[in-house]
Order: sequence, then structure tokens, then C-alpha cells
Amino acid sequence: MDWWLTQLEWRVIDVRGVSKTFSFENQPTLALSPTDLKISTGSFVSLVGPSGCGKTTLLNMIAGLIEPTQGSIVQDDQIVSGINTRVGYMTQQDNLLPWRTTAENVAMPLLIQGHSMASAKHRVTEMLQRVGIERFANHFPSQLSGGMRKRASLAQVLVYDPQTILMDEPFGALDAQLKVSMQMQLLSLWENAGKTIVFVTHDLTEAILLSDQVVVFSGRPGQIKDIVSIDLPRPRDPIKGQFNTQFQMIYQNLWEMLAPDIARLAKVEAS
Amino acid sequence: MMTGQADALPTNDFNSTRTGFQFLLAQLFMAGALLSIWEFLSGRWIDPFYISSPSAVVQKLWQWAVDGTLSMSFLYTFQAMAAGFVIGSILGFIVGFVLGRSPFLARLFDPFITAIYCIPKIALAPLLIMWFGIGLSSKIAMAALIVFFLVFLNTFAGVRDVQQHFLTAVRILGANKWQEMRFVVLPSAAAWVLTGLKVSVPYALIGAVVGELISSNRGIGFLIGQASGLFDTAGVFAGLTVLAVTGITLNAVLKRIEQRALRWRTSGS
Repeated sequence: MDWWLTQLEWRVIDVRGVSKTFSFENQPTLALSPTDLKISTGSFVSLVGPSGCGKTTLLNMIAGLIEPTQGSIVQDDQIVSGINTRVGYMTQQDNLLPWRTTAENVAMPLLIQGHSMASAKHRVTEMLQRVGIERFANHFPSQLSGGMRKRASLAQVLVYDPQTILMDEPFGALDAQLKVSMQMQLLSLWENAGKTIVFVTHDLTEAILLSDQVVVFSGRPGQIKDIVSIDLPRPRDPIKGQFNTQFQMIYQNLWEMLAPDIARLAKVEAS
Repeated sequence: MMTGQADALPTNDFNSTRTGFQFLLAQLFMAGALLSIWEFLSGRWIDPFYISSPSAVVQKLWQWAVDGTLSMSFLYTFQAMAAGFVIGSILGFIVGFVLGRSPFLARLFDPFITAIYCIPKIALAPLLIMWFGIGLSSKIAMAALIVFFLVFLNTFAGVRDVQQHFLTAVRILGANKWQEMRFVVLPSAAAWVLTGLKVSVPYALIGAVVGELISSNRGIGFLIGQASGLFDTAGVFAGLTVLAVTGITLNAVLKRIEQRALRWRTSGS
């Protein structure tokens, strides 16, 4: 392969010795111990681990919403400082503006880039069709179900084509069927577009089926325990993929990695 | 000004159209019954000097309508009210917006604004008449002053109420300051501002009428004052009727505007 292609694929996001300490009533808590992580261009990387292991904190730091206490995050040779407009961020709670209709919400990234509503319309309609909510284009968020709001958020983050997308448990609150259908949509959109996706989830099955790499965190203070490469062939099928023996092995391996943490959490909860 | 209260109650579309009509019937019936009792009592049980009678009031209104007093007085009062409303709400919006966006200025001005806010605005009427004379301007000033505070306080609260996560979301999308305003701050504050505007309209009317009552030679407030001076009870009631009808009409119009502007708040449909 040509040298410039390898350059291009080289670590789009470079987390260098990043840690985060939160203070609450003068009581400092280490949320994330110093962490190194390289995420290369075009890859799908999932962050998994118990609650409070610093996954979302790391995502927020990549998005520039909070500052690392130590270390720095470099994206495409530029240090992230302040809000990072080079990423699309689909947060756990959707951020659809309640006073804008679905179509107006999805169009917003394009309007911010300076397009007019008229010129954005075609692309917005296309996105709404792809996530299957074109019939609700003129509904307000309060009139949509949780699943439809998630689809609208997904359409909103995809409409302006950011090269890097951060997703924080985007499908966490969905029922099993809807979840699989959204995963399929996300996979097909990602496989054709060569985007980098950093995906936080609690769901090991989801992490394995979608990702190139699964980053396993352990909790309190959060740190990376291992990075597991998922060599399942693509394109993948979120339904059939689960019954494959290779999948089962990876699942078991990940589960064993997480088990001690979960046992420890259970003990804390019980006492 | 009671009518605004029931707006907040959740209503189901199907029920509200049906019972809406039933309510209207009941309300008309009550109004008719009250007027009948009033007409019956007047002259039989109670001296018309104190309570006049609906028929005398209607006669008075007719007389005013025919000789042009009604339209002239109404226009005068309406002018003062409308101008005061526009001036007061524009200033209230600007100041509320600026202070709402700047915690520094808000803190700096807080005691002064509270001090002026606590003075009953009506107590300032004599001062305003000294400054602006007994003409239209003092009534406009009176109405504007009252409206200013209502719109200011609502705008201030509205701008403060903007949810941070919405701002963060549009900033990640690359929004500049102006786009933050346009997409998040203004629409989010709009509900508060509209409430302020809606509440202000009757108060603008109050401001104009109080100004007229204290010193004037025209307007509905003046008519009421004059009729009272002449012991013309029917005239007083006729003036009050005009004010009441104006209030109800404005409220209905404002409710429509508010519903249209805040469509996103009602779910379902």
C-alpha cells in the first residue's frame, strides 16, 4: 500500500495520557486514570465497561465539552481545546430542539453551515427516508416516540456528513427489535461512508457486532483494561452474527474480562 | 383578567371542542340571568342612582355611539394603550435580553430594578403627568412603564431558562453566537416573552385608563371620571362595559397568537 494511504489511516484521534478528576464539595474523584488510546480513520470503535468507568467522560473530552485534567487529545494533528466542531456527537439524551419540527431539526446542521432551508430540503428528505421517518417530517419532537426521536437524532448527525461521529449509548433505551433495525441502518451507512465512529455502549453484543475494536474499561477509577480486535467478516448481520461461533468466543472472552468488575460493583451495591 | 387562568389546564381535543360549546352556552345563560336580575332589582329593590340598569347602560352606549363620543374616546384610549404597549414591550424585551445574557450586568442592576419594581406604578402617575403633561404622552408613558416591567421580567427569566445542553448541541454543530441566538436562545425564551406580552395587554389598558382618570380631557377613563362627577351611574357602567369588552376581545386575539406561536408545546394532534 502507498505510504500516503497509511498516513491517512493513521490515528485520527490520539488520546495522550488523558485523565479526568472531578471535584464535588472539595472531594476530588478520579473518573479516568491516565489513558492512551489511538483511534484510526474509518474504524468503528466501541467503548464498553461498567457504569462510572469513564467512557462517557472520555467521549465528552473528545467532543471538547470538558477539559482533561492531564494530557491532551489530538485529532488530525490538532489539539482539541474548547468545543470540537470536527465531530458529530449523538448524546445519550437526544438534543432535538422542541420548537423545531423533525425536518427543521435535521436541517439545522446544514443551516448552521450556511445552506438555506430550500437547498437543504433535498438532503434532509433523503436522510429522513433512510432512517424511515419521512412521514413525521412536520411533527414536533414532543409528538414523536422515543424510537423516532433516536432516528431523527441519527439523521441529524449523518445529514452534514461529519468525518468522525461520537455516539453515547445511542440505542440504549430502545426495544430489542428497534435496536437491531437501527444497528443495521448504522452499519450500512457506516460501511459505505468510511467514517470514524466512537461508540459507547453497555451492550456487549452490540459492541461486538458493530465494531472493529472493542475497548474494555474497568471501573473506579476508570482505566482501559484491554483492547480487543473483532475480526468477524464484514458486511455483518446484527441478527445472524450472534449465532456464529467466533462471536460466541469473543463474547465469552469480553464477559470474563468484565466479570470481576461487575462482581465488585454488586458487592458495593449490596453492602 | 381571569380568563387566562384556565389556559394551562390540559385538555383533550375531542372533549374541549364539545364542552367548549357547552361552556359558551352556560356562560351566555349566566350573563343573561345576571342582567335580568340586575334589570329587575333596579328601581324595585335598589335605587337606580347606585346601580343604574342594563337598559339605561345600553341607552347610554347607544347615545355615545350616535354622537361620536364612543369612537373618539375609545380610539384615544386605545392609542395610548397600543403605543404604551409597543414602547414598553420593546424596551422591556431589550433590557431583559441584555441582562439575561449578562450575569454581570444583571447583578449590577438588580437592586435598582427591584426598587423601581416595588413602587406601585400607579403612584408614579402624578410624576408622569408633571413630566409629560396631561395629553396623550403621559398616558403612553404610564402604560409603557407598567408593560416594561412585565415584559422585562419575563424576557429575563426566559433567557435565563435556556437549557445548556441545547446550546452545547448547536455549538458542536459549529453554530456562531448569532446562530445560537436564532436557533436556541430566542425560540426558547419565546414562550416566556409571549406570556409577558399576553399578560401586559390588559395592564397597558389599565395604565392608559388610570392616566386618564387622574388627569385628562378625553378617553374612556375620562368618560368614567366625568360621568361619576355628574352622578351619572349609567355613564360609569357604560364606560366600564367598554373596558370589559375591550379586555375580553384582546385576550381572545392574544390567545390565538400564543397558540399559533407555541404549537410545539402541545403534543398529540
